[in-house]
Amino acid sequence: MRVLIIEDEKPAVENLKHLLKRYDSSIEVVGELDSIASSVEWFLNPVNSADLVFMDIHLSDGLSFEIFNKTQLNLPVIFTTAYNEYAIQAFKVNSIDYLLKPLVYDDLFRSMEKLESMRENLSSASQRIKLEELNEALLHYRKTYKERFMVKLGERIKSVTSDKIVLFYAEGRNAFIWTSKGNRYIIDYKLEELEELLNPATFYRISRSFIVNINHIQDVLVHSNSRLKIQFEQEFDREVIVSREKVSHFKNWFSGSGI
Amino acid sequence: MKTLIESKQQKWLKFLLPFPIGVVVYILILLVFDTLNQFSSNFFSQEVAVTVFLTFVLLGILRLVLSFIDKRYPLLAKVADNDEDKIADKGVNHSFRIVLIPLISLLISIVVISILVSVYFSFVLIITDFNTELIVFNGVYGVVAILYGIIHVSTSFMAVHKQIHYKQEKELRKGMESDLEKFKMQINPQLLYDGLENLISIVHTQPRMAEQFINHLSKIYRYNLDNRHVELVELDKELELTSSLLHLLNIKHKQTIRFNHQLPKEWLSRQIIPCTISSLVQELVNRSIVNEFQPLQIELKQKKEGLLFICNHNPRIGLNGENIWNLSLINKAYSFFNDNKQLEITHHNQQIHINIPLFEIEEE
Repeated sequence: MRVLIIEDEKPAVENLKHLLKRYDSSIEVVGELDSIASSVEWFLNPVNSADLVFMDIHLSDGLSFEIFNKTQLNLPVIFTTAYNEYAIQAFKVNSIDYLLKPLVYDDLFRSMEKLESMRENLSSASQRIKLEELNEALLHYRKTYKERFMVKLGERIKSVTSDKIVLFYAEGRNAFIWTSKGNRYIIDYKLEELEELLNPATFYRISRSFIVNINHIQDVLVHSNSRLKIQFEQEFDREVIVSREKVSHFKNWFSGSGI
Repeated sequence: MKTLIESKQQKWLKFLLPFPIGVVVYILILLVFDTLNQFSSNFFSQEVAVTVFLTFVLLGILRLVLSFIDKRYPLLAKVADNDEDKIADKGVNHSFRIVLIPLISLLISIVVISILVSVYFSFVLIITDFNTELIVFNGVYGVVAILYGIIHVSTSFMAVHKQIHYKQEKELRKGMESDLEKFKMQINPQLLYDGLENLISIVHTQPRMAEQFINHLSKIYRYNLDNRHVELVELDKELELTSSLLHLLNIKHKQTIRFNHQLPKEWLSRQIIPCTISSLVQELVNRSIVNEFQPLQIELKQKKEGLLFICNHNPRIGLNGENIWNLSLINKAYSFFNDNKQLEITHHNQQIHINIPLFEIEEE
């Protein structure tokens, strides 16, 4: 089998070669590339061919996905990455796989077995990398946000998904959530922390004591002093007002043009 | 410390302040009676002494009354209950206070000065008709009292402001310290450096083992990082982490730590706060004598709705003599979900039992 390695760290390349040799000594490494530019060049040259590509996600000149934009790649790919905050699980589809660094023989073995069995069972056309598959995977390649909050209700513990949360609010030193069913629960986070953890497209901190969910806002009214007042499907017992310095940001966010 | 200096200053100010004020009052009174030309001849007269004495008494009483008011109706207690947002609007009460305190001072001064001046004129000078003097004295001292009141209010507001600031700073620091503590829990420097040291010792002699070691160490840290913002994980995952940890510890302790659990399958999907079992294991290994002759047995059993962590009690002598487990950080996390569900250590002849609560989640 002919293998191409795209990786910008020399020791990682050595380790991978070592592991591949252990897996199957007949594997031939046809190239070691360390950047997007050199990879694109390699793929565009019709002389070059390979059966499998190992690709580090973070390369010196950007993310390796750019290679797909610039070339017509139809090879199985195994991505390698160190710890990051992204939802890497999305890369486990048919002709794509991923390995976490430090690379371990057992994991490599499993990935290789999977690809080998696919190669045997499927026709050559379907073992090619599917563009929609990759796009799907790329769609998920983003920062993961907190989707669930554990709250307690007496002796029981409930899980509230973030789409059911209308509002986060601070009262005294504590933070609370207010759900679409009108329930309130205390949570063990500060609003500052929540700002970092929540998806900024859905949640916005409108003032010192409120973070609102865009999907639950019903009305935005002009309030005194050029501030904005927010209304939800249900009445909240405090006035939820966008502070003056955040009004223009809020409008951008609310109209969906980002912050 | 600061209040000590302040009170010291106030003590000698208490005696010094009446002299300049008394003299100013005397000059004012002379001005009113248009007899300023007597000033040079009568400067050290009895009259000066009287005005100084009156000032002394008046300021003394004012100080007593105002500090009583401050103690009885403190400014700070009101502010301290409220959160930051509400400090800004101190409300009617405070502006009311600004007017009230000078008024009280004025009232006190009228009462005190009237009495003292009447006494002075009727018994010392033995003059019966002293109405004009009474009015003039009251007027001048009234102004002094109002000024004193205003200064008092403003300094007390300043002090309160400073105190609020100090408190906020303290809170901030506390928050930062607890964040640091959490951060340390994630990084777990002891495990990291112990691990690296063990790695050095095996990397040349047993490369295969070193590879496994690195694998497990990276698994542990990946788990810690992944679960930074997760409140609860499945028991199954926690046990997986624990087995990685035991793998590391057993390389150091030559396979003398034995861990087993017989838990029903449905138990494994229950929820636990991440790193509970692993930190208990680490704590235990750090505190126990572990060698070939005294292996460490750890067992997990089901107990009611939770788990029971059983291990043999063979404590190492610690630096501080006492060998008390510090569960406060873990318990803090548990107290968020349930005040009654806390980790507790009990001793049963040569064994330590620790109960670990488990949770079940419902969908909202």
